[in-house]
Amino acid sequence: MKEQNSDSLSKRKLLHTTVYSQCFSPCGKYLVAANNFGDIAVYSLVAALAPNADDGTRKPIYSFKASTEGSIYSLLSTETLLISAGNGDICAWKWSEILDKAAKLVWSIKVPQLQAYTNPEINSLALSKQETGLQLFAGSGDNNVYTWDIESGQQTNSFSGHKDYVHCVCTKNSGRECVSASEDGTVRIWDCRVGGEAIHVLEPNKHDLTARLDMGKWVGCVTCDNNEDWLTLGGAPHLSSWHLRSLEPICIFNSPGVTHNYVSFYEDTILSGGSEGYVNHWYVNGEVKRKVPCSAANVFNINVNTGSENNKVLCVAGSSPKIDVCTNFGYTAFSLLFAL
Amino acid sequence: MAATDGVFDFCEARRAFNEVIHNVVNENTLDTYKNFVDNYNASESEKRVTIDQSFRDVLRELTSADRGCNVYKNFICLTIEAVTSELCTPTVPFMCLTDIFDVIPIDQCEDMFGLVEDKVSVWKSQVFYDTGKNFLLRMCNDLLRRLSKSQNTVFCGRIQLFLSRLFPLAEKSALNLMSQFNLENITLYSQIKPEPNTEENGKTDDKMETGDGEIEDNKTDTPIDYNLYRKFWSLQDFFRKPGQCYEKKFWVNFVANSDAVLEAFNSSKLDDLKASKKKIDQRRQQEPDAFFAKYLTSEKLLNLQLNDSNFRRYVLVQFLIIFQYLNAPVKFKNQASVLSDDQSNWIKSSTEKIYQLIKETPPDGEKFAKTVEHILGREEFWNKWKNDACPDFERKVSEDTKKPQRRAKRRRIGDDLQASGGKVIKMGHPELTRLWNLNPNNMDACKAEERMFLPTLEDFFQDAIEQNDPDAQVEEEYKLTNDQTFQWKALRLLARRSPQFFTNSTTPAQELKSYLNSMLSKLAKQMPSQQGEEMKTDVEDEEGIKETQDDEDIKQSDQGKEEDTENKEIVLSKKVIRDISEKIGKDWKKLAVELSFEEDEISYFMSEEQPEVEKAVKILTIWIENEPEKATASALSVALKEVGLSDVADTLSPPV
Repeated sequence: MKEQNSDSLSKRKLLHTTVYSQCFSPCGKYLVAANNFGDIAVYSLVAALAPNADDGTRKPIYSFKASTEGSIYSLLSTETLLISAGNGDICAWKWSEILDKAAKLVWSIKVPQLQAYTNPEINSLALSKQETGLQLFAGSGDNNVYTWDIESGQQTNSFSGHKDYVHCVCTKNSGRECVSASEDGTVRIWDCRVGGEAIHVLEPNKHDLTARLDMGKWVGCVTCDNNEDWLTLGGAPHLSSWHLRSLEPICIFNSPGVTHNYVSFYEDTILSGGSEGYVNHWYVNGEVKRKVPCSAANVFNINVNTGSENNKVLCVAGSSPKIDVCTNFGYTAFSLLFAL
Repeated sequence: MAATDGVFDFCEARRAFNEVIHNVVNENTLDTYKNFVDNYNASESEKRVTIDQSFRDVLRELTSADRGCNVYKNFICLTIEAVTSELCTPTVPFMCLTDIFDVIPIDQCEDMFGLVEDKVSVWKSQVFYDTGKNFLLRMCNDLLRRLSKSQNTVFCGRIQLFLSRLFPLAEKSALNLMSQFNLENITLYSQIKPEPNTEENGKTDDKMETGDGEIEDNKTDTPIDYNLYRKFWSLQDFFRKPGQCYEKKFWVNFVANSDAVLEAFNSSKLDDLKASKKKIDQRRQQEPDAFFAKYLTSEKLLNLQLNDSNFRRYVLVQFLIIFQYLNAPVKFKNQASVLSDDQSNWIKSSTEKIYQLIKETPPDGEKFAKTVEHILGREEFWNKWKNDACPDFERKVSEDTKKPQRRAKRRRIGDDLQASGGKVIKMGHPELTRLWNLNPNNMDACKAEERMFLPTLEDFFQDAIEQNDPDAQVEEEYKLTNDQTFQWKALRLLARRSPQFFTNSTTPAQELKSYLNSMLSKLAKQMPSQQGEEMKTDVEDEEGIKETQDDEDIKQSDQGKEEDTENKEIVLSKKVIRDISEKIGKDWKKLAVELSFEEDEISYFMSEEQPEVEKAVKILTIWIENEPEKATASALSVALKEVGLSDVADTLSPPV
């Protein structure tokens, strides 16, 4: 009876699983994903891509509970550490221990509680390599962006200015500046050395080209390209590319009725995913390259394994326990199952 | 050079001819040759044999001397000329061609073949065709066997084209009559799963250690989707042998694999890079299409192949071909090779998907899809042609050249009516005719006495008037006027017949019964039976006057009619009767039947011993006497036409 219960319980849990974030190991052979229950699962890409792969290889080889307080929204990988953040503290785990299947918390950072009885979640993490060491940027639910120095564990900076929680952060100018997108409809660019007010504020909902006021104002994702000329953002406004010099939207990527949760540059295309079950590949000038259907109805994360040539796959995670793996980016080859 | 008398020395002759032909080759003209042949002293057949042989000999010498293609070409042209001037048998050019192709290398063959192609019209001409077609076919087949399909594809194509131009459209020799498949065309691909390497890995990383159960990295550069790879190439096996698909097990596999592949094609749309470039540049020349005889199936190529438009088109067209085969009725298929409903449905839906995918392939997807559809449509036609045992395409001249007999025109009733002066109508059936002719004039029939259903006032009211008479002493309740039906009928009749009904009376409306009684009393006064005989005689007189008037009317109309008939028709005088009878002759019997004579009457006439003509006269006269009104010239002519004596009938018709 109990087994039946636990069996059906696990099945139901599977139905409700949402994978918010994924990350590749530094060696490129493993994929790590985190879900809304606070679990982290590790998959072996090599096994899954082998000629004799079957359903068994599509399940995690190891999983552990990373957060007891709720979902994990963001994963990040340094050379030795896997950093996870979400509801609760920012935690770091050693890769070697993870792959040994005995993960132990190395350190954790508590998000500053500005008021009593609040426990802000971290929605997004970003990393930058400075001369001083590794800086960790975190966009938090209390409308601020915090930075820590990883070596020392000290909080180095905090940027306030957003009127609502921060969806996404990313770094630019090799970490001297950071960009944050927030629910209040603004994208702010901060100077990390100076702090204080944002040096630039972009409001996509005020521009005719990008605004979609019937969908709201919130900006869900932001990213910069390698040359630092372009900033692409999306959310309630149209997914659009802005020129950083002029801070004007230059072209929009037409996706009617779809808000975007994730965007990134990859080679000469832009990958984006949002509130429809497709991964969009765009040319930088705004034309659609392709729309690949995926198993999740809402896409939260798209990641390309750039660390490894052999296992260069594109993984799509979203509101489904299945993580789609694409070998040829044009179609989904198979799906990994986030089942514990 | 004259041979000895009697025995024909072949060798000598041969040698002699060879020399001459060599000269001919050098000079490139046949005139000297003609003279020589004519003058040579031997019989025709002997000469013929020698000539043929010597031509071949000379050719052999030329080829062994390796004189070059141009020389060979000239030689063949010479032989053709020789045939046309009847200097050698028509087989000579063909034999020479066969010989040449047998001995020269392939590149020279291509050259020579150009000559063969150019002379297609010659080969198709009357003189050459029958003798030469088998030779040519054999020669081409030998060539094809020699050539490699992948190396000399163009040349193979040329040979096939030549054959198709040479033979008529319905030629069956190249047909795959039994619809057999090339079962040897197997596509190999790596199906064996590589064993995982479980050996210990000695090296350690700073960053991580390899755990047990881990698999060695493949030496591949990009990750390969083995699942799709296997499914994809397994399809080729089904394409090779479509018969498998009829079995349940294989069908399930086929459907699963096809669905997976089509899904992959669907997700992975092809970018139209070429097309976008074309918009900028001018319209470039069409690039020559890539062609390869066999698929390359290495795993590493799968990614590239999926992104290639041509490859995708090949595979999709393969699908369409196999679908068409599975659906098509072929005479040589097994009885068990029939698709179930589910299978047909799946095929239909997949076909639509595939056409959609084809339309999306760049460049010119739509045009390509239309072309494929058209070709498959033609294929169905050819299939049907094969099933009907390959009928010839030439239209045969129709053999049925007999003129259809002139059918007698249907007679219209109106004509009949006119012919008989409005008296007789022939309905085509004796009973109908009888019924109709009781009274041909509808109007009169309607007015006839029998059809007068409305009673006279007298008849109707007789009883009622008697009742009303106080002398009769009929009691109130027994009077007819109480009866509602009577009352109603009485009112109707009064309205029709009696003017009293409409007199304007100032008395207020009475109850119906009393009203009727008062009417009755008024009628009684007018009624002749009540009033006595005075009225009767009056009425009689009136009636008598009416009758005489009617008679006069009728007489007048009759006279009018008679005048009409006199004016319009030829009177059937004795002379006319005699004329006709002479023409009728023996056929009077038929005419008698037609003129509604009875059987016994006809037999009576037959028994009489008179010449036929007289009999004819007799029946005609009797006919006229019997039915003076109906026996008009038109009626007679109509009857004659019916019998088949149209020409006689024509004489009767009045001059226009």
